[in-house]
Amino acid sequence: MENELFMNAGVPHPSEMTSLSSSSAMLNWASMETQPVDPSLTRDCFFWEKSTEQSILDSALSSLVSSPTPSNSNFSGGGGDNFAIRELIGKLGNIGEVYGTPASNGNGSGSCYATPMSSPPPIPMSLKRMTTPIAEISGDSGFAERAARYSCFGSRSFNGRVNSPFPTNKGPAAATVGTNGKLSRVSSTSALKPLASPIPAGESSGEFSRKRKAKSKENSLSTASPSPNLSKEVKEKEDSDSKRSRKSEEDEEKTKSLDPYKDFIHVRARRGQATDSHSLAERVRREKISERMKLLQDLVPGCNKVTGKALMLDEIINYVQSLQQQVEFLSMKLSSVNTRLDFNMEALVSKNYSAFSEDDLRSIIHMGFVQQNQIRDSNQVQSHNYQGPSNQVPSHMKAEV
Amino acid sequence: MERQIINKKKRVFSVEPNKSHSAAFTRKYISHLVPALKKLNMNKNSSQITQQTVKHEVDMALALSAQEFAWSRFLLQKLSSSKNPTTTTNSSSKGTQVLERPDKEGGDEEGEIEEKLRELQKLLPGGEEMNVEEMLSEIGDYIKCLELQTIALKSIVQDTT
Repeated sequence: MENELFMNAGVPHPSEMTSLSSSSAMLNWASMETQPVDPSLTRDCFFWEKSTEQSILDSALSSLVSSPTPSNSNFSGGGGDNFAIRELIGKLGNIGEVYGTPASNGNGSGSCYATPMSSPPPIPMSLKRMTTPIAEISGDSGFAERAARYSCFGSRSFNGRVNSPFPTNKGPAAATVGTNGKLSRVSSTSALKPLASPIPAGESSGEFSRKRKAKSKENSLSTASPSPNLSKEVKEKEDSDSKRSRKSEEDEEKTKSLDPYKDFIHVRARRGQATDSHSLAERVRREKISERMKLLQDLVPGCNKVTGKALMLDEIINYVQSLQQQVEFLSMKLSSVNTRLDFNMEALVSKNYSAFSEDDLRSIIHMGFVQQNQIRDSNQVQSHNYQGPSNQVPSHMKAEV
Repeated sequence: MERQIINKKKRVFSVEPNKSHSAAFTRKYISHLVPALKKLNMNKNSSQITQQTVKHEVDMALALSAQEFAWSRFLLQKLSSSKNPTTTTNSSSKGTQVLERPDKEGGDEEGEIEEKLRELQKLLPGGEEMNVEEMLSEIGDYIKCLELQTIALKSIVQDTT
């Protein structure tokens, strides 16, 4: 799990390790490192990373990197490295002291930060030593990956939450709780994102703010480290939470069967889609359309037996065409009998103008239904039976007709 | 008898909204169509009463009776702009088109659905100018009005035969 978290961080974008990504990556490791030490610092680091200007971060960390000993000392090579990181993080936690930190950390920090850029793989090995929060995070990352498969995550939702207050939570762990809804799940994936690729600041900050919102459910997942358990919980919670749980389940099942590495990469692609506001709007649009189609289903006779959008649309198209053909046919008939209109129209018109009660109308409609069935048979257009109201015609109407 | 009729009339505004709505439409439709047909009959000789003019009147009556829907406005526009009414004569060809569709291999289901939606749009007067969601809700009303129209026409034809 931890491997997956950090391997993925390193594998996809080793070349893209810009100062930002590396710095954010470092911050992440540092925060995770220091979690057992000082959760508040961790939180601050995350928050600080996202909400403060990147320039400060970049300058601080670049200065750290540029500090002496560009040795490729293995990250696992020293607890001193970790200690240095903790130190750095502790100092980075205080924003004002950022500029002062580079000098103090010296070689240790320099090597620490040089390491990720030069050799991403060693990182996970060192981080294996990390405590539960990391496992939690990594487990949650698996969770997050699956959760992030929701295509409904849009950049809009990310950006909209940039300014929400940062509640006290466990940082990345809170994000992974994710069952607050699609958004929280995505936010957990976003925790991985800084490790993996450079992302716009606004977006990432939005993601982190969503993590905060997921705080309420973090406790439920705090103890679940293995991914299968998490995925199960995710599944359950998804069922209860979102109305798009069906989709999430499908995604869950897909991701469960896949290799974790593939999961992550696949998730990333999906996230690329999901964060697109267009896909979000498209999803909303599609839901509206399916809603209307359900209404149409009730209207068009014989549509209840048909399932699926395409077949239903076929039915509807056929029905509208047949109705139009009927009207055509009837108007043709009408034109042919038009000569006799004068004679019979009087009766019809008088009937309509004088006392057009509902009873009369009902009888007309009933008569029409009878005829409709007959004409439908003659036209041989309709294959299904048209269930109209009863064909009883009131006696008094019969007399008039 | 008068009282009975009046009482019956009161019942038109019954608890059933659908019925009263369709009753209102049918009433309007008949009131539009019948005088129009009468006028046609009076003004022209029987030989001049072509199917087209009757169709025109039929469509006109439909459009006038369903003023609350968007498609009726489009239909009115179409009818008023063109002397020859735009009939649905091509519906038969469309029918075959729809029948052929199942034979095609649906490579892209979404594309298929979109195609069908577009076809549905063509059926509805003015449907192509609307977006899909709007079109779907209008189609429902259009179907209802078409049904009522067929009923009314049938009753007229039956009365005159």
